[in-house]
Amino acid sequence: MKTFIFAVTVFAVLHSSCHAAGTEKGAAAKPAAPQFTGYTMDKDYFSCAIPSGWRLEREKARDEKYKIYEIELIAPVVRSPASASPKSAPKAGLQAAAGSPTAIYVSYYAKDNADFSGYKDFIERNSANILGETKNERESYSPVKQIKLNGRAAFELSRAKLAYLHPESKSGESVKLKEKLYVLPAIDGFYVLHFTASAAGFQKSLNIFEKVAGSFKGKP
Amino acid sequence: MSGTRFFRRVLPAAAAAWLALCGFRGPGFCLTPEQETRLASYETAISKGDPAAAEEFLADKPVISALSETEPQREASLKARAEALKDLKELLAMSWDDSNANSLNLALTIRMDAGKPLSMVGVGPEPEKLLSWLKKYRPDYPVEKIEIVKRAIRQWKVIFGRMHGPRSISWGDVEKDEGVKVVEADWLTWTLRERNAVIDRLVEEGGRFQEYGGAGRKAEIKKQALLRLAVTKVMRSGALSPQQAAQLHDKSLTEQGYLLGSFFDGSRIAVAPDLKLVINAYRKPLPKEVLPYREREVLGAMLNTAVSKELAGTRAGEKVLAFYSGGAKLKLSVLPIDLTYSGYDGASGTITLDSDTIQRFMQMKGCTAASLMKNEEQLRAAAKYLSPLVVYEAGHQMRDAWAKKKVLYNPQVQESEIEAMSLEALYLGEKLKKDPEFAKLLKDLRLVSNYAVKRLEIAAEFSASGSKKFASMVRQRYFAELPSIDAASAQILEAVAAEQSRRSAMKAEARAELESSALSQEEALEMTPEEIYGAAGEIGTPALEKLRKDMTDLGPYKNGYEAFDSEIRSGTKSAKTGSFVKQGAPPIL
Repeated sequence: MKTFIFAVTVFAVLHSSCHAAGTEKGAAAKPAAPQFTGYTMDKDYFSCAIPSGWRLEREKARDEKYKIYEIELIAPVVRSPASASPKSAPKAGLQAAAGSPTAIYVSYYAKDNADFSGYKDFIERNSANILGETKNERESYSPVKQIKLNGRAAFELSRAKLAYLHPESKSGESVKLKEKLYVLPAIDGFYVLHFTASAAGFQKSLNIFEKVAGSFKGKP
Repeated sequence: MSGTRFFRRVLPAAAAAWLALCGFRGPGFCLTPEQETRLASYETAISKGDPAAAEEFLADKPVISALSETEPQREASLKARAEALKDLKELLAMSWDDSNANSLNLALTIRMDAGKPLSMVGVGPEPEKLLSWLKKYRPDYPVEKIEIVKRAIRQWKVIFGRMHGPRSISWGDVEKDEGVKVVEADWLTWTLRERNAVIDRLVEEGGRFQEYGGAGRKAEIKKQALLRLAVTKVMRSGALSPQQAAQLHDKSLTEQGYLLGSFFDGSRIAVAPDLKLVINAYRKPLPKEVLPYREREVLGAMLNTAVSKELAGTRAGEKVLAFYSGGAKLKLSVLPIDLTYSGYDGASGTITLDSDTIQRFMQMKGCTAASLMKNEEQLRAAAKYLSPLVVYEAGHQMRDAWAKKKVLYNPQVQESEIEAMSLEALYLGEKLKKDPEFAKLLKDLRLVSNYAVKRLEIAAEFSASGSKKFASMVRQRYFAELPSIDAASAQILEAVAAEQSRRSAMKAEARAELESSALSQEEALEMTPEEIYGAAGEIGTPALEKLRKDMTDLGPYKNGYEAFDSEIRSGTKSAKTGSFVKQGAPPIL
């Protein structure tokens, strides 16, 4: 039955993405919508649709040790021909120092996980910087929103930041990131869906993240 | 062959041959015929770079154990290659994308150099060999991952594009032999280290290669822009006297910053504190802000006590203090360091703090060398500012002391950086929560101090990610250029096996001469894996044997890292590093 429900969910996601593409026919030609396949985590902790062109990574042994079961989905690299041109290089020096990853993490934090006391702890530690600030020259956190995700209670967090690449050296190399997270409380722990990308690439893949989130099924 | 015939004829003959060869030494001291067959199969496959065979061999304890008794050099050599292949497989399985392709480049540079274990199995030193290896053993990797690898190995087409005609680039005056001409044919034969050296040179020349390096230059440009803005604002503010304004006229930005710093010194010029901070931070130091040699020595000793006071009262700090009260000594010195804020020297057991970082702190806080050592408040502020570095380096010292106690080699690897950075992050999180002065100091100085911003970021990343993701971040984002313990082991075993083999072929006289001037075990154990790799020929035979033994059995190391990791894990939850003053945290809507 679970499998059936999951299959229906994946179908619904695919159908909605096809429908969305269909409604945009009149617009300028866009890249084909990505295909999705189903993924189910060990012990049925969660399932979701994952974009087929994206690379899936997992550290199973560490998951067990930390009681944090997660997958990382890495976006395919699209390099436009113009990206090699000096004119297209970002003007802000810090942005040019490195690109940014586009990735989606889908994680289940078991009740006895090693890192967070619960979803409230996670939200507290991810909705402001270490000084409790929500805005400064390098970071900006949006207010936490209480939402419904696939019919269940969830929290939405979003933030933008510049992150240093070499904190123990004098190098100033940084990367500019934009992130969106959904936190879903559960009886035995909580779930996190986390999307991270460069400021420039964020919007481009946000719909993929939303489709993954839209297909997400976790334990109650 | 029928089963009966096999048991009657072949088996006894094989057993007799085996007994004759092994001299009745018993099981565990000689390879059985089946083990010999497996070994031969491993050797063939590993020599072709097969990672699956490498893993099978590393898991085949009976074969490894028997081989280490009979042919330790052969065992070390094969193990080194197998470890290197396993490590390469794990390295490439990690998340690599556009953002960290430069980190992958560093990681591959140390692994694929000439003579390294990977080169012995056909994965290097020519970087393009990695692509053939991936095609053969990881055909499942998507095109975009292969593209990242091509970028990381600095493939000619990726770096220079599809150039037509003579594919060459140059700098300087080639005709006058002042530059170097680079052609694609040469490029294909160069190692990653050589390619990187050329790219670094091109980055210095400017142009379109900035994305492959040059971050330091960009940071410098940003600093200059901020300084220029601050200087202009002060000059237009009307706060300067006509004489002072005249002195600044027609001067370079560097001179203007320096002069303004000297005007501010001890005066009451009405300038916004932020502008003053920017100018003081980015200008050249005044003579009295420079720490001379003798004063650096005294300051190091004074900071010893002052920093210890700062560490008290936090879990990570108490762990460091317990370490120093249990036999180890905290020895701080102040010296100029080129690239980093601090360093730990295992030979002398000294933690060095970068004198330029301290001088910049003095400039920002309006201290002089003399006042810093006389004024208790200024010294306390400096100790607070520098204390995270001491915790970080103490993490290195703890691992070093552990290795010395167990008489083991302590390689500089990613795992030790994960320990040191996690300890520092734990300390920062708790200190920010418990010590408002410390939080205010970092908060105030972050406007002009990358060091302060970085400390806050380390704490924030650790708090938000948790220890699991933070460890991956250290490995992948912060220290990709270091080898993992598995990679270090592979490199060292390969170098040692090759050197032992060379020495066994040497004449007694030549060997005695070599041993008479070779590096001692004590000296060898202080070397990094890279240094050992490059200088195995200079290391004494007993030290080589010691390194071989230590790097063959990684169990104690992995147990040690796991024990530390487990302690950090337990500290993450109880310390609740992210719960510092949340007045500004956004409300839940």
